[in-house]
Amino acid sequence: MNNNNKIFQFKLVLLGEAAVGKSSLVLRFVRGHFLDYQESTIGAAFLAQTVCLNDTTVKFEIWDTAGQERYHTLAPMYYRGAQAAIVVYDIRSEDSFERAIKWVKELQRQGSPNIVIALAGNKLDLAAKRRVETAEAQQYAEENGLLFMETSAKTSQNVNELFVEIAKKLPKTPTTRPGSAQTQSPPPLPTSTTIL
Amino acid sequence: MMNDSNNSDDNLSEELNSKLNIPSASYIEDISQLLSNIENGGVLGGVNNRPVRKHANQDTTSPEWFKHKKHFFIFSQSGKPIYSRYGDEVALNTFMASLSAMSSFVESQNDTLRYLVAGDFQFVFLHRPPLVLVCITKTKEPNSIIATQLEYAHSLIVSVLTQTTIKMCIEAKYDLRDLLGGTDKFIDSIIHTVDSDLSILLNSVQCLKLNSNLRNSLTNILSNHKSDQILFSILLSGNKLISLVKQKKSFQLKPQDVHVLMNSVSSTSSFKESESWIPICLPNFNDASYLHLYICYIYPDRDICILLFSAQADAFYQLSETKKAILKDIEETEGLADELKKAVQNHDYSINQTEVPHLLHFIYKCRPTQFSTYPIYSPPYSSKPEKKRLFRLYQHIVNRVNSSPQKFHKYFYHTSQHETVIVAIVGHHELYATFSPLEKKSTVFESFTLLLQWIKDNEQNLFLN
Repeated sequence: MNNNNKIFQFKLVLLGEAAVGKSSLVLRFVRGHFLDYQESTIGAAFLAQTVCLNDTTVKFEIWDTAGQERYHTLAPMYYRGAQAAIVVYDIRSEDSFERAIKWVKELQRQGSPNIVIALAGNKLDLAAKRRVETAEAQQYAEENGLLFMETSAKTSQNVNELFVEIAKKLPKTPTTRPGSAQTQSPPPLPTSTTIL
Repeated sequence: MMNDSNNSDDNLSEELNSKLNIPSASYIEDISQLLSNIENGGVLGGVNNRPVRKHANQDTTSPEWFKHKKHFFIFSQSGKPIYSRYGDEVALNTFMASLSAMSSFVESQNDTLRYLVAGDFQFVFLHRPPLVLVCITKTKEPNSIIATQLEYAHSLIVSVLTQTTIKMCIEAKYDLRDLLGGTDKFIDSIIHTVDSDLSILLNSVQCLKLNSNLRNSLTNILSNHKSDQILFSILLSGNKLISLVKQKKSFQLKPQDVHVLMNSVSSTSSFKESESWIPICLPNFNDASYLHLYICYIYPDRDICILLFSAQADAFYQLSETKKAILKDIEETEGLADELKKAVQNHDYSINQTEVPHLLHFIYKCRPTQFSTYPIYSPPYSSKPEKKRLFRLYQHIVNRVNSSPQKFHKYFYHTSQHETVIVAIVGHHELYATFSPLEKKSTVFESFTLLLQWIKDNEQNLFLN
């Protein structure tokens, strides 16, 4: 079977404390740009981006959620039915790492059963002020079966790599996808394709 | 000449008074202690942990803090600081506690503190339990107008959290600021807007001037995509309304809600990057719960944005489809998209276009629909201070003619050193027209009649019908 034109569509949600760089990661991935002062997200933003693997195309429908506490109760609305999640923390903040662990637990408890979770330690460009050690996060990720990468939305280090790793790990059998909410036609915003 | 403001002018407080059956405004006589506190500066040092906000590191120890003309403070009834326009609200803790004490003192006598004057400063209090909002200003605006501005700031907070959440949070002794995270900039922005927006001054919404055929086509397209999911469909550009369709005729969208909404949309540039789905409360529609708002800029370079409201939290995908269908219809109607983009670029008009002789400026409100229109400022209103001066004059005149809601002045004629403003308030409309103070009365009346005729002739393009 020729898989070259096969497009798989997945719902991905970003979670994490306020100001850890969720929107910056998404905008780096989708639009290829970075703002030094990224406004805080209100509610949630919906974007789409496609990743080409060797023989398949994976289209991510991305929910970039707001990190503020007042939006916490709305989070299930976004991660319900998501096949993938990126839980983001700021490597300069232990609190944000603690918060990330809580999000992982919530996803494991209430997310889709086969959800692919990636843990992203963002702001790697500011490693001089690091408060969360790579080894510590790495170990936590391994113990919990998470993908793990340290990223920098500012320098774009590991941003595409992170999404590609997720794309690789997602099952490419659309008919058996759990909690599929993918009956919608392609997202309306112009999407670009990252060839990797 | 018009900067005195009598407390009885205030509709709001009058209403409040009649409800609570209390005598008119109370003053605190001795505020010298407070003022000496202000002059000597507080005891707390400033902590600047939000460098992105202007003046964030000021407090009562910084001389610059006292130079701001117009301060806004928001705190809980128990005096917990929530917001300060200038300076760090935590560092201003003691200052807000003094304001809170003043208000509690009057309350303990079963009365309500509304205004007080101290030297050049007016203090205006607005009680919206469990919150208290205070403006301290030397701008000499009418008290009732400032109270309305405080109302807007309050509505904004309700739009973010709902009144139910605010009450619960305060009752639980939880710090409201934790829930408001990131809201400061919206409050900053609405405070800035209410101080210059003529449509807010008239309690109205400004419509984008647009050829009526074009507008009808757009409105028809929005109507064709009505559904049970959608309460309101709105097309807007910046802070101007292009089209609005309601699911039910009985639904009311108050100007205040529209402005709070526009403020939230226009102060978030990241909405242009994606489709967004946000919970928002429209305080005059239902202050107890959220609606869900779908936001998408269909032509981001022209600031043209579509807003779809739903009561259902999971309606996003459906609304996204609706938007696609609406956009498709716009694109497929010949010339519509281009004409719309062109109109958005060129909709501003100047008084020259009215061809009314001697006219300097005007503001007009259609009373039944609460839509307004006005030209851009043109000379002599070119500089910022001149624009502001005219705005302040309008504030006083609006306050004066509406001073008694039962018996507003039908006609009002004001002449001062800089201008003559003639006002007509009839069942259908309010018109404020500005002329040079040197014009003869007969000329002014003639021009006024011509202007009314021009508005009537252009009504279809100036307003949504």
